[in-house]
Amino acid sequence: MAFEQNPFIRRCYSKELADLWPDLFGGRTMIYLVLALAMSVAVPQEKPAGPTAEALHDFAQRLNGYLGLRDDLGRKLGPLAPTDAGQLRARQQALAAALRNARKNAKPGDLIPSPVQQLIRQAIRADFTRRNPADKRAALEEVPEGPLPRINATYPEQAAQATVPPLLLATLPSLPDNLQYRFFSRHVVILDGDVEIVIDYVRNTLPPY
Amino acid sequence: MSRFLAASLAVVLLSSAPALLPAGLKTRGDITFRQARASAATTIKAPTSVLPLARDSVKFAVIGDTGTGGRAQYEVARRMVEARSRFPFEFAIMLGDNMYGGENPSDFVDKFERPYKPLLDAGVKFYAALGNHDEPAQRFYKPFNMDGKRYYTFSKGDVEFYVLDSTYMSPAQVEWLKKELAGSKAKWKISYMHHPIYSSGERHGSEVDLRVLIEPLFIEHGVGVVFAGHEHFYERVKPQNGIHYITEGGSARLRRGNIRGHSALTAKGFDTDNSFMVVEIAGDQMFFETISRTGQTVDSGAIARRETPRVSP
Repeated sequence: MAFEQNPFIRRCYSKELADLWPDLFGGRTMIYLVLALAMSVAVPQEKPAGPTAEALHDFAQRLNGYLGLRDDLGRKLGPLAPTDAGQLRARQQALAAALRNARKNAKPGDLIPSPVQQLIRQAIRADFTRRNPADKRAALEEVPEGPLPRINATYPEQAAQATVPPLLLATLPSLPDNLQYRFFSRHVVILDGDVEIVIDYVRNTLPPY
Repeated sequence: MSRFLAASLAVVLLSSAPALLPAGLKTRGDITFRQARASAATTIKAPTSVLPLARDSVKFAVIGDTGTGGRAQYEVARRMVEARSRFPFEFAIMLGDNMYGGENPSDFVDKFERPYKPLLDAGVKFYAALGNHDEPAQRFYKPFNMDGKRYYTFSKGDVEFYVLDSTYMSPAQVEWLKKELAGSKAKWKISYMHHPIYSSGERHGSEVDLRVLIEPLFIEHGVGVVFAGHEHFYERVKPQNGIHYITEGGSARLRRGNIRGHSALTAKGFDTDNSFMVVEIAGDQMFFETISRTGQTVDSGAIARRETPRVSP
């Protein structure tokens, strides 16, 4: 599919929005570059062949495996429905403990294969290169500082969850619902939002701030 | 002396109300209430309310960045209870950062259940959006009425609300919003989320990425009003592309003096105290009052419904 035909990309490149993009990135040529990148990583099902597609397929399979594990463990705890804070917390902690136990030997890169780590690095580098200094500062201002993340660690309770800029998010390999990319120090972590634990990360991906 | 003070205050407050009311609009009479800060015993005259209190209108409150558990949150909450005695809003929308810091069960009590207990006991429902300080698991906290979803819609009368998770605006969420808006026949479409896509805040400012992605959908599908928090003050932005953007992120925290001076965006700003809003949608008008922690009306007016633009053949 040509990228002009992709509905998401077409919307990003409507006439009104084209007027806004230079504010962010400083040039129309760059729009094509970022959109092309978006096509290459955000719509993997459109390109079944090639090393990038294979890597993304592998990534998706690994994440599905993780979600399958979480579903299995969650079923043992009973269905999750809207409830009070006490029950919600108890279930969250029980599920987190079960996941930690099941993945106690997990290592960085178990879920994000190396080629996908490279894609993530490239997307972030390209995105931040195009942002003007004020916009870059805004994107990074609430990123929590801390040591290198650890798999299975709880996301710091007192820290804000730095918001990954939506236009960058659109260029990163897509994640299943409620697995989220988050910035932490100079690293990108994948956070399981249901249990607030880091399930994998890519280190040293963000520019200095 | 106290009568003179009260009269002076009323004059100041009335003169600060923006000229948003359509000509000929009838307003309700004066209302008295207590002003806690000046003196517990002092009763002053509130400005004439713009809220018509129409039968079958949609009445709600707006709060943002509330979850501190601190004194200001409780004071604003008390002011909400007071406001409800004259304006019986049925529900409240929460603009994110519902819980700062810990999210243990005791935090939900201190930062939500206790301050808003009189409202909860009176049957007021709260509909929360997620902020960047909120764990996504809050969507399963029953009193937030999110039904387990990070982004969702709900309807009240002629109004459909689109509640977004601006902390993680994935392509899937953008597609969802597009589909929901396109399929809606609601007379009023109102969206709210944590991050403001227009803001004069020195601390954060406008979220331009979000604007690029979702404002075209608002324009295309007739969203008339968008509420946000994140900035710890109140700001009503001049209409942008026909849409009214209102930031109310000062219902517990306050970033005093943080609205950029001479901002071309600001129609009305209030960054010297905490505040919340009460809103009434009656027919084709949305009436609103913004009330400070001390009970002063710092902004009020009426906004006309925005028609869904017709698609030219």
